[in-house]
Amino acid sequence: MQSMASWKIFINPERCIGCHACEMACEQTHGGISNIKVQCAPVFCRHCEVPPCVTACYRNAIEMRNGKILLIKDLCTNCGICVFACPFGAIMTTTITRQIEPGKKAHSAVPCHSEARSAEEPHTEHEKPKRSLADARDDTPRERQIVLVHKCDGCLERAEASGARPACAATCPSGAIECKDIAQASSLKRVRTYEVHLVTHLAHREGTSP
Amino acid sequence: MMVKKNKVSVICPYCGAGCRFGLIVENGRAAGIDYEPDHPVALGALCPKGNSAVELLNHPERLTFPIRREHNGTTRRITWDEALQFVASKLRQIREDFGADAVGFLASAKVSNEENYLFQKLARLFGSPHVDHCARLCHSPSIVALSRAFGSGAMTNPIPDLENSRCILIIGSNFSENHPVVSRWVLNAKDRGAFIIAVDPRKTPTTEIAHIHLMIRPGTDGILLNAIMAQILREGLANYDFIASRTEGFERLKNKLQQFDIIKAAEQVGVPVEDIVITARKYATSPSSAIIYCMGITQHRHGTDYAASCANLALLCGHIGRSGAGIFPLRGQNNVQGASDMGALAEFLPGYVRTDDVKKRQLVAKLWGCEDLPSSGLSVTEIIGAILDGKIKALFVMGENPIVSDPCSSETEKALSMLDLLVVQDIFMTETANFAHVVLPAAMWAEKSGSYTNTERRVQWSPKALNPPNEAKSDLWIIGNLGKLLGLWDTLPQPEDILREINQVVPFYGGITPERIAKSKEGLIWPCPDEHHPGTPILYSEKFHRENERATFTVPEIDFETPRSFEPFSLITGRVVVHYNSGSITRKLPSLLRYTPKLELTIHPSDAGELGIKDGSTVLVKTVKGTVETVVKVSPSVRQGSVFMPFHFPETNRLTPKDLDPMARIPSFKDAQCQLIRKDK
Repeated sequence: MQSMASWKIFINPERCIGCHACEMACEQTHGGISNIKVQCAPVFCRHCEVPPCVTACYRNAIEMRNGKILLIKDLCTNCGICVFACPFGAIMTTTITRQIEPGKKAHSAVPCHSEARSAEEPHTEHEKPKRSLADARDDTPRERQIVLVHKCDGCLERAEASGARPACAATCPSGAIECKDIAQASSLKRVRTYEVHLVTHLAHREGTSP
Repeated sequence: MMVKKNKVSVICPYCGAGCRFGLIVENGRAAGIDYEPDHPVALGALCPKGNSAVELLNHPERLTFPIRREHNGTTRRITWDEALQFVASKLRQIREDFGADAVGFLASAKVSNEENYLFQKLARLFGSPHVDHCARLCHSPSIVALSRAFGSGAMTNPIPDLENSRCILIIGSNFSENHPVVSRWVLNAKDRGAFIIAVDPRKTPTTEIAHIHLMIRPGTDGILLNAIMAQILREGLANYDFIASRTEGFERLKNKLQQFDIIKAAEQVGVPVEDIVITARKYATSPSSAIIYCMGITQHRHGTDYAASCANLALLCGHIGRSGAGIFPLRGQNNVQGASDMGALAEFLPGYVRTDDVKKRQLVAKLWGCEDLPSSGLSVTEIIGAILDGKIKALFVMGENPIVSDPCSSETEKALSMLDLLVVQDIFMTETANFAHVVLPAAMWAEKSGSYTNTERRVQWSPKALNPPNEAKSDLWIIGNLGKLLGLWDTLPQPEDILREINQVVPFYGGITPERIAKSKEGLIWPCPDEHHPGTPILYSEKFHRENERATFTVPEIDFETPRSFEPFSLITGRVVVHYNSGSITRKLPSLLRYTPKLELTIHPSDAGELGIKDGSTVLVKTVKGTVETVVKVSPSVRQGSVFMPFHFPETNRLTPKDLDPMARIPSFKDAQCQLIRKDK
C-alpha cells in the first residue's frame, strides 16, 4: 500500500451476492462488532476529507489519521450526534451489554470533572452522594445495555502493521469490495466507460445486440 | 506471558472451490484468519462459511472422547483401546456370522485423500464391496454421464478460466450462494462482454448476474437442453468440423433432435421461445462458451440424462478442450472429487478402475498384497434399503450424516435402528451419531495434514496447524489403527506415505507427490502422471480419455413428449449461502445461524394468497414420505406452483422421495411434490 491516504474502499453493488462475508470479516477484525452492513450492497464509511462527523463531535472523539477517519472509543460517549451528521448512514449502532466493574460508577470510566450522578446508580439508605470514584463502595456485579456507536476505521491498523487490505475487501468472494487508489479508480472508470461505449457502438454497427 | 503465535496456510474445509487461507494459531488454539491473496481461485477471498473457521475449530460441543451407547440408550465415555477393540471384534463377528458383505462403509467427502484411500482399502481388504459416499447424492450423474461421453467424469477447466468465456450458460447452479468465489470469474467474463444465461426454476443471487434468466418449469431441464440443441442444428450453427474430427455417435442424436418441436418444448418448459433461440444462438456462435451446472441438473430421476445432454451440447458446438470453453459441474464438498478419485465409490476402485473389471481389479489387489478384491457393491442410497431387508447388519459411517442428507429420513432412521453395529466417526454428535453404538471423536481438517482435491481436479496440501482437542484423533489414526486390529496391515502410515502409495496406484496422481504439493500454494491439477509433469488445467485439448480418443454423443432415454407434472406443488430442495449441506456444522455456529436461524419454505405470492397463507405463518408440508411443520416466506423468487425448502434443516429430507436415477443411483431430491396445509388456530 504505497500511500495509505489516497486509497479508498469501493463497492460495486452489481457484484454483491449478498453473502455477508464482509460483515463477518469486519466483525472478526474489530472485536466482535461489524462496521459494515449488507443492505442490498455493503455500506460503510467513506472517510471524507471534510467529515461532518468530526465537526459534530463535541468531544473531538473522531480524528483523521493517514487519510482515515477514526472513532476513538475511549473518548466516545455514544451520544449519537455523529450518526445523524453522516450523510451515508455509515456510522452504525449496536446494542451491547456492558459489565460494570464492582466499585465503579455505572457509566464508562471517562475522566470528566463535573459528573452528574447517573440515574442507574442505586440509592440506598447507607449511600451518600459521592464525588470521587474511589469513594464508590457498591460491589454488586451490574450490567447495562448501551447503544454502542461505531464505524469503519479503514482497517488502518492492519494496513499500518502489514500493508494488508481492509478485511472486507480481502474477503469479498465476488470482488464487489475493492481497495484502490482513488486516482487510479477514477481513471479505470473512464476506461470502463469507453469500453462499454465501444462494445455498444460496435454492436449497433454490426446490427447485433451486445 | 509469551503468546506463541503462528500462521499456517490451510485449505477451507467447506466447499469444492478449495480456497486457501491463513489460520492464526495462538498458544495452540485457533485465533484468527488471514486472507492470502496469492491463491489462484479465491485471490484471498473467503465466503461467510470459510470465515466461520475459528468458531468451528473452537466449538464447545465438539466430540472429544469415544462414546459407547448401550441398547437402552445410555451413553458412557470409553477409552480408545476399548472403542477400537470393540469395533474390530464386532466387525469380525458379523463377518463370521453373515459374511463381509453384511458390512457397509460410508466414506467421507470431507476427509483427506489419504484418509479416504485408507478407508476404502480397509473396507475392501476386510472383504466388503459396499464402500460409497455422498457423491452418490450429488454428482454421481456427472461421473457416469461425463465418463461415458469423454472418458473422465470431472470438470474440464479451472474456475478462473471462466473469465475467458464469451458466453456462459448456467443451468441448475446457484454458485453465488454455494461456490461464492466462482461469482468473481463469471462477473469478470461479463465485464469483458460475455453473455450470461441462467436457467433455474427460481430467482437466486446467481440468476441476478445473468443477462437472461430462463425460469423454467421444474423438471424440464432435459426438454430445454434438447430444444436448445435442436435449434442450433436447425440454424446450421453446429460445429461440424469438431463433430467430424473429434466425436462419434452424432447421427443418432441428430435424428432424434431433428424431430424436436421447439415451439411445443417452449410451452412445456414455460419460457418464451425467443429465449431458447437467443440461448442457442449465443452459446453456439460465441468464440468460447462454458456450461456451469450443478444439483439442478443432477438431482432428478433422469439426472444422468440431463448431465449427458450438457455434454452433448458442448460437443455439438465444439466448446470443450480450450480456454473459456468447457463443462463445469461444480463439485460440492471440499474433497468429494478426491473421495471419488480414491475409489470410495461402490463401482470404482482408486483411479476409477471398475470393480467389475476383473483383470484391472486384480492388478490393484496385487499392489495391496492379495489375490483379489470384492466386486461392485451397494451405493449409499441402496445400503439403507439393504439394511431394511436384513442384508446389511453393520455400518461404519465416517464424516457423513445420512439421517439428514439422505432422502426420506424416516426410512433411514428405521434402518439405522435395525443395525447390529453402527459406528459413527465425526466431529459433532450429529443426528446420525445419535443412533450409533460407538461414536468416535474425529479431528478437524486443520488438526491433521493431508491432500484435498477440489472441483477443478486441483490437489492441494493442507498442513496440520494445531492439535485436536482432548482425545479427538485424525481419521487416519482411527482407520489406521482399526486396520491394524483387523490384521489388514502392520503399521500406522503417515499421510505422506499414503500419498506415495496413491502415486503408485492412481496413474493420474502419479506426479502429485507430497514433496511437490507441500510447497505449492496452488497445488497440482490432475492428470499429472509423473514428477516432471506440470499438471493439466484444461482437459481434452488434444484427445478425449476414451479408448479411441474421441468423445461420444449419447442419446438420452427420457421421454421428451410428456414433462412431469407436480401436484399440487413441486417441492424443490436446495441450499442457502450461510449454511452447509446437512447443517450439522453450520447450525451450531452462531455467526452463521443468525442469518438463517430456521427452516423457511418459500412460496409465490399468488399461491400464498389462494391458500390464505401469510408471510411468517406456519404451515404443514406433506408428501407421501412424511409431514413437517415450517415457517413460510412469501416471495416471487419461486414459480407459481412451486415451493422451495433448504435441506440444511432435518425436516426437509423427511419429505423427499427415494426414487433413484437408474444409472447413477442418485435420489431425485428435486422431483418432489407436496401439499401445503394451513395451521389454523
